[in-house]
Amino acid sequence: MGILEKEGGSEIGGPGRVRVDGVDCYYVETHALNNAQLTVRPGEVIGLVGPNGSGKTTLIKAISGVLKPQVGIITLDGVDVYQIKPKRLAQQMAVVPQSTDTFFFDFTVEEVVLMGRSPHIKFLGTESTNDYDVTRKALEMTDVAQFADRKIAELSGGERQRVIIARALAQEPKILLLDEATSQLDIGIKIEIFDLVRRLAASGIAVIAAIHDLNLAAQYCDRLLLLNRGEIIADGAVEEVLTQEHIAEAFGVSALVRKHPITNAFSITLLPHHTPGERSSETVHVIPGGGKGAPIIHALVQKGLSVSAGVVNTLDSDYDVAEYYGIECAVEAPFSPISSEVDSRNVQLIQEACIVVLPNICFGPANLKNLEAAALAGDKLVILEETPIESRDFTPGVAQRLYGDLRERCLVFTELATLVEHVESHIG
Amino acid sequence: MKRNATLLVLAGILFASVVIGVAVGPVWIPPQKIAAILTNLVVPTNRTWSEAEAIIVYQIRLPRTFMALLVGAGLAVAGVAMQALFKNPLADPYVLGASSGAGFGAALVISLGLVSAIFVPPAAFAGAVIATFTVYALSMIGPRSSVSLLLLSGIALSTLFSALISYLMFVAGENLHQLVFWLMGGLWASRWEYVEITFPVILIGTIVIYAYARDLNLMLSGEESAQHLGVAVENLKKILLVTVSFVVGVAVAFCGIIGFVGLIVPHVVRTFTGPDHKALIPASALFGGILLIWADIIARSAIPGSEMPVGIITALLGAPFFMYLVWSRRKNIF
Repeated sequence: MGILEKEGGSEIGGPGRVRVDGVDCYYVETHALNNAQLTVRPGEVIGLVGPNGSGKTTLIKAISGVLKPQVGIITLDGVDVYQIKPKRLAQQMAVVPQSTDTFFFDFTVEEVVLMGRSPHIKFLGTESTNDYDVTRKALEMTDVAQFADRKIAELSGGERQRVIIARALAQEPKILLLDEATSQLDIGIKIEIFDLVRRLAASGIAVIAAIHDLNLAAQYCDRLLLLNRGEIIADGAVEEVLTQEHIAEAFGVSALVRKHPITNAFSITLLPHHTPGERSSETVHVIPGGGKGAPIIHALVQKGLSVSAGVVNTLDSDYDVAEYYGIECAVEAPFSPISSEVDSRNVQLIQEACIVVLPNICFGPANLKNLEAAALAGDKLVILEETPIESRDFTPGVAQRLYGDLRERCLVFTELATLVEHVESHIG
Repeated sequence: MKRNATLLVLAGILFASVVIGVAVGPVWIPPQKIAAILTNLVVPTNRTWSEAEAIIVYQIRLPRTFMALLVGAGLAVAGVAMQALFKNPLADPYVLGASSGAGFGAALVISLGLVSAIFVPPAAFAGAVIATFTVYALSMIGPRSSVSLLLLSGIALSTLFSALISYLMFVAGENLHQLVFWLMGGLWASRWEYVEITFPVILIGTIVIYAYARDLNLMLSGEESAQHLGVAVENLKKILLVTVSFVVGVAVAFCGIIGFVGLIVPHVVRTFTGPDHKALIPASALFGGILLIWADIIARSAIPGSEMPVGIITALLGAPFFMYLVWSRRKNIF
């Protein structure tokens, strides 16, 4: 909520400032939006996220002047949006809808984009050279200039949507509303369009986008509004809004939220419903590392088995999964060798378990103790070996020797599925 | 450029059609003679024609041909406006109840014996406005109108007005003949006084609709999109529905119910002008004029010694075309 609070009570803003104040919208029976509050500043990219029917589109419609709220007020630069003539409003605000009417299809791309200029043309007036220049620029920005003389009907869905975005840009708006404008497009085109959106925002345009895809929203928005059943349940920076608790509340699903290692954007993975079945009292212990433990932990938990894990450091994605499932875990700080305290905790978990799984992890001086602990499992140990140990050994041959001994005495699997099957039958 | 060339060609065809419309009839009057008779109205020329020929040209055929031109143009432009407003290729004044409403208004005063240019047009206009706005009001959901409801209520209201007209015919007595002939749609009664009323109404109506050509283009992308592009949608609908009611009212008042012109013409014209209303509206006006002049020529020459109501010809052309439209679009609708 931080960003919103800073706004305080100040009324007057610069050009292109939208304010939504205590807005309620009803359809015949349903309460589509309840007490919505929002202030949008120039240059800001705001993502509206939430499940279907949560009120994203309703909010877009209300702001764009086509769905008058029953309660509350929406202002643009301090003036009620519903008191502004459509033409004047269209000079400042453009909307890209989800899809376009088919009656439109005989117009050429250029004609359609030129229509974006109509709010700027006087009644009975004609297009000026400036109008054509702006149109040309919009065509180029959205990379549809090469289709200028083609009919809309001849384009693919993605190209068509870019044309509609070009038309919105031709309006030279200060505020751009996107109502799931990219939800039907290929991922590559989505990225292109949102890259464009970022450039527009950099030039001072405020963008409000209803976005279905949480990862896309997390990657491109400065700020997110999470809606659920007509209520804005969270408003703020991406990391404030996309928490596991919020996602569970709005979507009713579990999610894994982490920073993506490459883009540093938040990445959300939705997980299947986690309903532990009849947990057996017998536990399977997984020795994780470098993300190799996660799929095994996930698979075993999904089978309804009781799982423990260790030793894992807190920066490892295996740790996230273990934490997510709330399993017992021996945890070490990042970049530290396994301390004897944590090691003995791990050994205890191993002794309690009836099967111990050693995944295809790498070994270095820091986690060599994990391999030593595995040796204590004796014939309870099963190994998943996807690549030869030689390629995974970063100790001076110590791990290889130890691993070789272990390998002699226990079952070795080369595929995750067969390993899980074995564990399941062994316990079940 | 291409647009202007199209309009020029259509204007040329229209001019030729007017000449032929005046020349053709039980008595053939060659174009040179027509030119001479008309020139004589301004500058006295050598007489090469009989008094009867002058009367046929000036008092009978010329007003009739002009009337065909005006009514054809008016109905075509009304059809263009309605198809764009309701984003429906099957919309026209006839389908949406405006024609039957106007017909009922006119039939009511005619059955009361008030057959005059003073009473019939206002009554027809009132009927058209009532029908159009009833249909419009019935189709409103919240602050907007729904297209499918609009068409359904148009059909319902058309049926209602047709029943009322039938009732009027049933009880008409001595006015029956007049009522029936008028109702079938015909141009035979055309007189200069009618042209004098029809001309300004249809000219102004066409200009008003043309003034909103840009907005009509935007309407094609959907009402919300149109509004997002600055169109005051509900205002536009009201202005154009009143305008269309005037045009249809005056056409029906003098020529009865002539169906399908408003439906066919915009579709045919779109095939060579494209969807842009800046070209579509003037081209439809010209083409509508041409179509009705020729329909009238056929109506009065098909059966020697007698003439058919022109509404029969337009219906014979229009109904199969309507079926063709349904056929060709059945994949796109639903």
